[in-house]
Amino acid sequence: MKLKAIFGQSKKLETKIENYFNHVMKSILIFQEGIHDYLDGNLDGIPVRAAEIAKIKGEASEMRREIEEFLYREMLIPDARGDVMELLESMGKIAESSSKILGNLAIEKPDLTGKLRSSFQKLTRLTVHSIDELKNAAISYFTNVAAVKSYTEKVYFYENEVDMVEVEIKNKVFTTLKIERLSHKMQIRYFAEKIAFLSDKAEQIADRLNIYVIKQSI
Amino acid sequence: MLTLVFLSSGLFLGWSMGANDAANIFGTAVGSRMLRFATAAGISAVFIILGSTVGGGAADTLNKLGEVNVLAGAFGVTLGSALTVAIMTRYGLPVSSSQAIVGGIIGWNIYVGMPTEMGLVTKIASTWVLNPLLAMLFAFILYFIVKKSLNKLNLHLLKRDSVTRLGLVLIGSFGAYNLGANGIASVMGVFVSSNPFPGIDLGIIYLSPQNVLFGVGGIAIAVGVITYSKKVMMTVGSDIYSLSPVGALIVVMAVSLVLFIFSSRSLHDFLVSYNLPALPLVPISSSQASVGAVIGVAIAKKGRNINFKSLGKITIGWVGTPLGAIVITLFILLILNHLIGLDIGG
Repeated sequence: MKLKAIFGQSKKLETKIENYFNHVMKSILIFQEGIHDYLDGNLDGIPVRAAEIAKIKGEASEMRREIEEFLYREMLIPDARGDVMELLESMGKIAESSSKILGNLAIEKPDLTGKLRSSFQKLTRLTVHSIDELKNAAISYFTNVAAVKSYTEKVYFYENEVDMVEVEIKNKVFTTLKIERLSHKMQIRYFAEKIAFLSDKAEQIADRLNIYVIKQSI
Repeated sequence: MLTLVFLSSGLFLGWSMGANDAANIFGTAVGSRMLRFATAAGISAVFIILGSTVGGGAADTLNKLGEVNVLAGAFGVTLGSALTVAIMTRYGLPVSSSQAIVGGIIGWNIYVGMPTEMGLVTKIASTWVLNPLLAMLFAFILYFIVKKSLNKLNLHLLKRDSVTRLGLVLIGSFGAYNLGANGIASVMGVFVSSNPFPGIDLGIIYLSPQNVLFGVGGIAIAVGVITYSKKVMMTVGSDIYSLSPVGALIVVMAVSLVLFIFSSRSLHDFLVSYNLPALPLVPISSSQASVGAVIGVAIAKKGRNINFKSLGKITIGWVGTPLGAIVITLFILLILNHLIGLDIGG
């Protein structure tokens, strides 16, 4: 029995999976920087940030394919393989969505100055927090299954906070602030919803993770 | 040639046992794709032959029940038992070859007018009841031990997978060894008194005539595993789909332990030497042990999804199988003795 080989391969794969989640998180942090650049008026930096995310996302996709291929080829974790693949793919989609938001910002250039600036900063910061906690939960699913719940609880907390900021932005846009054109109001609402959608996605994945954990109990 | 014809019923029973019972050891592992069938079949074949040749302690109890001293008589007993298994399986009735062979021997006793020691029958029957109950108890205890160990070790999901896989191979090997050691009594036990084989001196070790007889039976079981057990393993694996691979490992551990207890002469002698209660060495049903173990795990998991119907089915098998085997064996012996004119012993 190739014991050393089995455990050696498993160690390599463990590292690859952790790297994958770190790549996803890196793209989310770049997204956050991109939003800050935009809110600070540094519009030229946005396409660069979007391209950076796209590059990282490409690398992450390659990693994901290697992980999936290895899991199938070596018949590893047959009971959890489907769950792991679903988890990796859905995490990748968060990175992909964040890249699209930055791209659209660079093209549409909505007016997010004034009182909206701090709200969008807060919205982005909380969204990134929710995804960061999701990344911790995802890594814990592999390394310390008992800790997953505590991280998913934090995901839920931040997602709830994001929802509140999203409503706050919508109220400002449609009630408090004097924005003349309905198209501008709808454009701002669109971007608020798109950023908040990232944390909604994190919440959905956290729900799935909690189910995966139950399935892992012997 | 005639010897081979007479042994054929035992070899067929062995083949059938291999085809069906190896799934109780490796079914969940193969069905859940934790192990490849080729790996499971290879390990099973080697360890079953080893267990059959070296083990076989349970055969003595069967010989005490009825010493079938003529090869044709042993042929009739195993044929009657094999037919009982085939017919009951055909009609979807729960059946065990180990229980059928006991019925077959009692049938031979009745036919030749030998007394059947009722105390021994009661002792054997009590082990049938004890078998799934012990498996249930072992699985229940093992569940908590394994759970606590896993929580303490806190292994990476992939490492846990590798450890479980390794466990399934190691415990499965132990289980296959004991499946051979215990099951060979049903397959070749009745041929012991009329054993046609001489001993073989291999230089390093000497194989007694009984070792050779049981080795041949072990090969028949192994052939059953290799040629026909894949489908059964896949079915068992999907039947117990609610068990995780670690749960499957616990079930295999429990079944292997029960088979060991009922077939290890060393353990039996060790317990007796310390005046401890020792269980009789009797061939038992690994399928019934497996059902007991699965229920043991289910109870440990707070009794969710327990299918008590399977326990009811086992109870029917306890009574139905030996009774059916008595009747069919009597019929076979009648044909062999009166129509063909063979001496069936006594």
